[in-house]
Amino acid sequence: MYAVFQITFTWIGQPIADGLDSLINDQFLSFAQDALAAAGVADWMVSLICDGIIAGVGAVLTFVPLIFVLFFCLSFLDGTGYMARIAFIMDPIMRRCGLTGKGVMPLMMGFGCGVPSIMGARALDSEKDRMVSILVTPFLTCGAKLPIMALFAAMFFPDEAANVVFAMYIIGVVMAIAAAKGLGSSLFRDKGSTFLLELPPYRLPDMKTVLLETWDKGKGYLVKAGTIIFAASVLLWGLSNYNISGPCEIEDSFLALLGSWMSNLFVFHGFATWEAGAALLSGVMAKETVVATIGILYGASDVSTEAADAVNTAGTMLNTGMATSFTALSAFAFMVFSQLYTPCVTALGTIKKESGSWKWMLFSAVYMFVIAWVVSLLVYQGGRLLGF
Amino acid sequence: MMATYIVGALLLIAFYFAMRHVYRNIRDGKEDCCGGSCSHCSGCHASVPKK
Repeated sequence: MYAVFQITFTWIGQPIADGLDSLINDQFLSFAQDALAAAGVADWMVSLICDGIIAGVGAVLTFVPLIFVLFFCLSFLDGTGYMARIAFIMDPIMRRCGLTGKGVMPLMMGFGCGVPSIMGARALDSEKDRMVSILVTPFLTCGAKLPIMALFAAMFFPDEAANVVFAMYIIGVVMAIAAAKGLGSSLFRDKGSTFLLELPPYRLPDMKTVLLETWDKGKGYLVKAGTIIFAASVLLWGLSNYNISGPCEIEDSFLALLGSWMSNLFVFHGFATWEAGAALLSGVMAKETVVATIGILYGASDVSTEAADAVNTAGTMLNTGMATSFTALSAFAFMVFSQLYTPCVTALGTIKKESGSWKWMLFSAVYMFVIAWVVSLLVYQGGRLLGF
Repeated sequence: MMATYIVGALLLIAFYFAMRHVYRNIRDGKEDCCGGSCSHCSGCHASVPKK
């Protein structure tokens, strides 16, 4: 299982994803910009295509290698008979968390990316276990949240940055366990969690079957990227470039307006600014965009979504006014909220796809937002009471 | 200017087909993960029971 995690997110999947990311966001984006400009296409249309569609759809497409590698590994392991045994061994431990043994691998994948993790829950036979796993996985710290944690930790807790980021991982795990227990004993209590398992003999899987199964499970993700994500990217571009009067600066855009409205929810959390609200709102599109939005709004023009680069730009950000908008305590509360709140649209779309219901997608969006709001409030107000 | 109209028209067409695909999936209760056509689905442990 550790090897699957490493193969997916380190050895094979991530390098391919990085290569695809470079291909799309560097080479193809530059090519598209040059080609459109040379063709005489209006600037706003170039911005729509490059900053909206290519950036949005491209960000999703970069996850495709991870998905296919993950599904290939899962299908291969399933074919060998290994999955059945690991599920049996882990069953007693997972049962304490409200799940069964088969839920181990999808949850582990949640530390890399929530989307393949949610899709990996297909391996679970019980509907109850599958739904609980799908609903608690987004609490975990996926790779897209890491830049947020790295940026804020480096800026506000320079001496304890690693410990603060580690604390965020722990908070995510604790909340996932608590939510699994809560969901398992309430909404999914009566739907049964019997763990019956036939242990097949070890065997070499048929590669044709493995490849077909991988394609069958993964191709829907490509279709989604070209449909729902495409439309959502156009929408966000419009919100960040227009207001009721027409084209405008981002400070006057619908996004800024929505950010102002959203910031009203955080009056008692210490980060009730429209920039924070807009960043959190844009984070629903993709968590990486929280850092990019903060970078744009606070004037650091070259903020990268990569965690390491985010740390490197922290010093620049300090001089741009962000430090005056957050205290260390409110920054920590912001990190907690970012860790726990509503999953990104891709994850939400995947939850809808996997649960087969809009109801569970909306439930996931709302209950995670409420939990994040409450925990973040407790952190901020508790910190104030303790004198931080 | 003409290039803008052409690219805009292509985008509108792509947007239309994307929205039509989403609408039809919702209307017919189909999922992309099984190819979008229930006639090809023989059922498996991963399928979600429709209520």
